Amino acid sequence: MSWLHWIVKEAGLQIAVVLIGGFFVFSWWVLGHLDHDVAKEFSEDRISVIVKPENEFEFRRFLDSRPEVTRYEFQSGEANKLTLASLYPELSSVLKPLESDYFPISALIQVKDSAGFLGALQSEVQFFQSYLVHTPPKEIQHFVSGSAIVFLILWMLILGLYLFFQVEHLAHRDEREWSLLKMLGSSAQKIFWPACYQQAIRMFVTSVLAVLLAYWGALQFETVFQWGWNPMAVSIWSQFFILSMLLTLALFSSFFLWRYRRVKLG
Amino acid sequence: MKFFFLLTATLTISTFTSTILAKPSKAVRIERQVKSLKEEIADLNLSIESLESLSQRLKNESEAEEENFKSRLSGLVVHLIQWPEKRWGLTASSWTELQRAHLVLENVRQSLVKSPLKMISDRELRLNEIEGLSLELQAQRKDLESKHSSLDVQLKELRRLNAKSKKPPQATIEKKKKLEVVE
Repeated sequence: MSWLHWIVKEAGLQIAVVLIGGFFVFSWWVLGHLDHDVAKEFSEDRISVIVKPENEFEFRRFLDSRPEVTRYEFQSGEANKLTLASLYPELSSVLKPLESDYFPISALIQVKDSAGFLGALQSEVQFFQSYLVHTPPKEIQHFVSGSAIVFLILWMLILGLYLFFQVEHLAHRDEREWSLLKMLGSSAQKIFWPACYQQAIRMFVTSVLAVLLAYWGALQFETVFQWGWNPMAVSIWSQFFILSMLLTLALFSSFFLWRYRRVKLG
Repeated sequence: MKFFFLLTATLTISTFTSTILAKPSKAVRIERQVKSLKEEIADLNLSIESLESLSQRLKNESEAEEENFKSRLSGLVVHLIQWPEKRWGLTASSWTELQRAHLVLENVRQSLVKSPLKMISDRELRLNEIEGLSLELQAQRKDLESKHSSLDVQLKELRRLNAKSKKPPQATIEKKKKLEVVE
């Protein structure tokens, strides 16, 4: 039953490396999207204004007269009703019987200098009911970056644990051979590289599986949460492969040397 | 002497004739005024009645409207108010769209919450306007009624005077006839 125990232990750890690696790649991808695309979305300040219906024309003229405004877009009450119904399908049955008069006219304004524009806007209170200065989702960014760091640490920890057990297993299996080599004064590289290649191949397969898992997760995520996601870039998974290989090499060589030194002569 | 007597008689007759001619024209004028006042009062009464019926209709309509609003929207309002303030819209294409949707939803909620209050204040305003108008018309009616009663008194007085003034010429005629008989 020891072989079953060993399989469960090794397979369990390998599955954990795949899962945690997959989560890490996935959160890395989400973070990349937030950092790149959302930052691009907020390259200029954005302000949403709820316009009083009777002053829509005057408000348009006001926007045309402001030099800070680079672009603006109006959305009618009916359009807002449809947007809300499509954003929240659970609310559509509630929103449908409401007349369009209940839905305000909104304007999305892109400005170069939000402070200057807001100063001018506040002096024209007769045009609008309320406004909102859009801000990037900092909380989400913090949460995702925190998750990415946690997954990275966990992945490194489990990878290290897995490699440690692999080295222990090799040492236990080949202790005599290692002892003889040590006694003969032969270089440890003779036994290191074959073992290292083997672990590198294993880790490569594990990384491929982790990337595939992350890719599948990203596809599912895109279908559920349609937020204009970019497909997972080659750079993300190639960097993950490189990181995985380098880490495997570093950890395995460290554990191997440490264990090799502890092998008794004879 | 005869000439003097005739002159006096002529003067008296002319004075009475002018009085008789003058008095009825004023009386007619007052009668006309009274008539027109009566018409005005009748019109005002009609206006007041129509205003009262309008006010009643408005009340009924408002009640029906409020009842309709209550039955149609109370469930929706409760549902919308209970809806979490910052719900994650899974189909949003961008963060801005999501934030904008939150802002719009907040405004929809506010307008829904305010609409019954607005409805009540509108009803109060309209009813107050009608009541004010009705009170104004009633005051106008009172004014016209007092005018009417004063003119009525004047008319009665004039009629009495007319009746009195009509008698002396008949006496003079009789006196004249007696004089002629004496002559």
